[in-house]
Formats: sequence, structure tokens, C-alpha cells
Amino acid sequence: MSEMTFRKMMERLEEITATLERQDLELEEGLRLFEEGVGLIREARRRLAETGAKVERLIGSMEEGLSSEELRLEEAGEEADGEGD
Amino acid sequence: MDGQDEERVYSVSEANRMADGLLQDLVLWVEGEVANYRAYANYAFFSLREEEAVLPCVIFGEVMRDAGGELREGAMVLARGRLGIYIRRGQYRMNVYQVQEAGEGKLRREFFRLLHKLAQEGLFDEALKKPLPAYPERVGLVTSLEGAAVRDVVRNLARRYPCCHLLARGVRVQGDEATGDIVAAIGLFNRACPVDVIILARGGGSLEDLHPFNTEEVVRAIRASSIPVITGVGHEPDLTLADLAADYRASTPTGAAEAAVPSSAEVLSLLREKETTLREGMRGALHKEEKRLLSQEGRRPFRDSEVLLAQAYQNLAEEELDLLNRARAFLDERTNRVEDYALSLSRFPREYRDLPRSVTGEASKLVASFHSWYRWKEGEPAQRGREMRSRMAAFLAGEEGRTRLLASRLQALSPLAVLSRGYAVVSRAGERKPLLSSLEVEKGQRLDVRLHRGILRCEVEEREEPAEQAEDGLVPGT
Repeated sequence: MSEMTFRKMMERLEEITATLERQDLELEEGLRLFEEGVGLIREARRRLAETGAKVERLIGSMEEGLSSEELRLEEAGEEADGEGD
Repeated sequence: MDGQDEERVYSVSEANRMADGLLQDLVLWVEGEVANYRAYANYAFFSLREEEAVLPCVIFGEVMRDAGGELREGAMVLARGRLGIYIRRGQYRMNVYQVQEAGEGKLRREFFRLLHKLAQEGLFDEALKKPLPAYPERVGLVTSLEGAAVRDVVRNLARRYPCCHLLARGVRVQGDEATGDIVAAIGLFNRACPVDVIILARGGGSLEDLHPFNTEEVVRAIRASSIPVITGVGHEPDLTLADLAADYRASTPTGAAEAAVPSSAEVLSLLREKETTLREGMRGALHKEEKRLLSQEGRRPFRDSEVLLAQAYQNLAEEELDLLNRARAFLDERTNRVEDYALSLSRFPREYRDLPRSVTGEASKLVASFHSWYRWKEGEPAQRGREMRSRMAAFLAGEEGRTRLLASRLQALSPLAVLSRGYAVVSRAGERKPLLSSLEVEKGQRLDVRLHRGILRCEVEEREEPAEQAEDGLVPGT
């Protein structure tokens, strides 16, 4: 489930709730969907609770090859503070 | 410095020409305010001025006529030309080749020209705008890595939606190189670094500062991007062509970050909603299953109360039938006995005189007990009860009829009835036993003769011996 993108998880969750809302399911199928949905919600919450987005800067070029490194903004932030939006 | 010789004395013109030669290579764009414009047939003089400096300019022929409109006293212009010396007067000046209106006015005019052109081409059509992803995993950022814009975007993105991955591509956002940088960065994300959405951001500035965002190249790069582009340029009043071309226009970098990702708080509340829906859906499914099980249970005879009940009803019905049969047999037996009695009555009329009444009583007692049994039956489940009621009613009606018939037959055979046909019953006085033979009395014996109506008290005057074969039967009275 952790390979799933957040979007896929939410889409799947939407599907599950829509199916369950129709209420024409066999109990077994309903239970399976319910468990899957609860799992998705748990995983989604876990991901939302992660602290600190991964923030990187993209360096290099298409010709020479791209790479990325952590973007540090502290010093830029200090001097630019209060200016612009 | 070629040809310079310190030992040599130069003429004035030579000196001026030398200075002019040194300046020859300086071809520049110079911005300034037009002053002292004096036009002649084939040339014009003017000065470019700023607060504390003046640059004398000369302009010739075609160029002068083309630029005539811009060269108004006090107008800000951009003049491109070669610096040099007017030899005859030893005067420093710029030989102007090209004049453009400078500053806001020109840019604004250019802005509207492009706006009109690109709009006609349909580049700003709403129909072209791509929807933004609801839950982007990777967000591309095109902006200067120095300054407030990048910080605002990063801070808001991380705060709102910490589960996303931001990839920033630093570009110049001002000056001649900026346009190329921005176009390249958008292309880079599209071709080499897939992201779900691109934010193009810049802090606010003058129209000139924002110029790269008003270029045709940037507009076309945004339109050509297969990844949705969100612009967040400057403050609210600033509107750039890039904003018009973008799939979503936020007024600030912060706004762009907010548009790019959902807020965790909103997603969490959505998740809560979904959880509720799930639980309700599950409860519904359980409820449905419960009902289904119950109805299915109904189809399993060994667990079904209905079937058990039906079985009980069937047993009951059999018992009732048995009871009915027994009752019928009982009545039949009674009937037979009544008939036997009736037969015997012809022999023992006096003793069994009252029998019909007791038989009738017996029958009505039976009927009464049937009634009470039936009343008890009434307490039984309704359907069965109604069935029983009608069956019992029919049966009882039949039995009562039969009993009445038997009673009337008894009545017919009663000795009293015989008397009504003119026979009499004779007994010793005070006794009830009928006399059957004359040998039973002596002469002078007192007798009671019972007639149909009334009794005669008599005395035997004479006795005849009975014949050898006396017939059974009633003795006709004398």
C-alpha cells in the first residue's frame, strides 16, 4: 500500500465509499472493502502526519544530467525577509 | 592607442579624430529624458538627460523620421547609438541609430499588443486550462532561489501538505536572461523531471521587473507544458501574460502554494468523513446481511419456528381428529346402547320408562362437554381454531340432530306412547312392576291399571290361567 500515491489512495477510497454506500454488497465483499478503506485512511493519516516535506533543488541540465540536493533557505530567508511576498 | 606618438605634435582635428576613434566601439543603449530637441531638414539635435548628467545626441535622415514620434520634449526614451566626437567642434555626442519609447509606457503598449495577439491566437482560452491535481506527489517550482518567493512557496507547501516532494529549479526572474531561463525550466520539468504540477513564482515588481513574465516565449512555454502550471507572480494588482496563460493564476507565491496542494487539515476532515461513510456503509451491509440470514434461516426447516409451529398444529389437528373419532365412537356406542335400551323397553316398559330422558341428558352432557372442550380450543391459534370451530360446529350439529332423532324414536317406543294407542299397564296396587301373567295375582288382589290418561284402581274378581305358550308382549287391558 505504501507504493500507492496519495492520489491513488484517495481515488480508491472514493471508490470504496461509493460502493459501500450502494449497499448491494455481499457481506464478505463489504467487509473486505471496509477493511481496505480503513487501511487506506490509516495510511493516509500516517502520511499526512509526516513532518517536513522533502524540499530539493534541481541542479545540472538535461545535457549534462540532472541531480537534486536539499534546498536550504535559511540565509536567503533572513536577508529577503519583509520584502515582497 | 594606435598611431599615438608622444614625441609628435598633433593638429586639433587629429586630436579630435583620435578621441573619436577611441569611442568608436562603444555602441550602447542609453535611457534618458529628451531635451532641447531641434530638428533640421536631414538631422536633429537633442540631449538625453537625467538628474545630474546630459548626453548630447544627433540623429540623421531615416532614423530621425522614424523616431520622430518618440522624441518629444521630456519623453523617456531608449536610444541606441555610437559614442563619438564631432570633430569640427570637438564636441562629445552620441550618434543615434534607433530610438524606442522607454519605461512603463512602452512596456505597457507592448503588453497590450502581445495580449491582443496571443488572445486572438486563443492561448488564453479557458478551454485550454488543465485541471490541477487534487493530491500532487511532486511539485516543481520555477523561481529565483533567492528572495521571498521561494521561501513563501516552500514554507506554505511544507506546512499545508507535508507529504509532498518539492523540486525547485532556480532561474533568473529579471533581466534579459530570465525569459530563456524560465522557458528552459518549464521544458526541463516536462522532459526530464516529471512533476504533478509546476509553480512559476516571483515577488512583485514594476512592469519592467515583470517583463520576462510578459514575453511571448514564456506564454508559449506555459501553454506547451503538459504539466499544469500555476503562476504566483507579485502582488494582487500585477497581472502578467504568464498569469493569463497559466492553468491557474494565484496572485502571490503563497497563493500558488495553496492552490498547488490541498491542506492536510482539509484532507484529514475529508478522511474523517470517509471513515464515517465507511462505517455507515458497513453497518448497512451488516444490517442487510442480518436480514438476509434471518430470511434464509426461515428456509431451514430444522431451525424455523414457523415449521415447528406448523408441525405442532399438525399434531394438534391429528389429536383433534383422534378426539373427534373417539367422540364419534363414544356417541355411536351410546346410540347403539340407546337402541338396545329401546328394544329392551318393549320387554321392560315400566323400568325403562324414563330412559329416553336420561339418554337425552347423556347426549346433551356430551354436547356440553364438547362445547367446553371447544371453548378451550378457541384459545388455540386463530387459524386452527377457526377451522376447528367450523368442523366442530358441523359435527355437533349432526350429532345433535342424530341425538334428537334417537330421542324421538325412544319417545315413540316409550310405554307411555304405547298407552296412548289404547294399551294399559297393570301392576299390583302401589307397585310399578308390570304384571305379565295372571298367575302373579290372586282373586281379590287390588291392581293399578295405568291408562294413557289416568289410573284405575281395580280388584281382581276372577283369574284365568294363562295358555301354555303365552306370547311375549303387552297384555291388553281388561
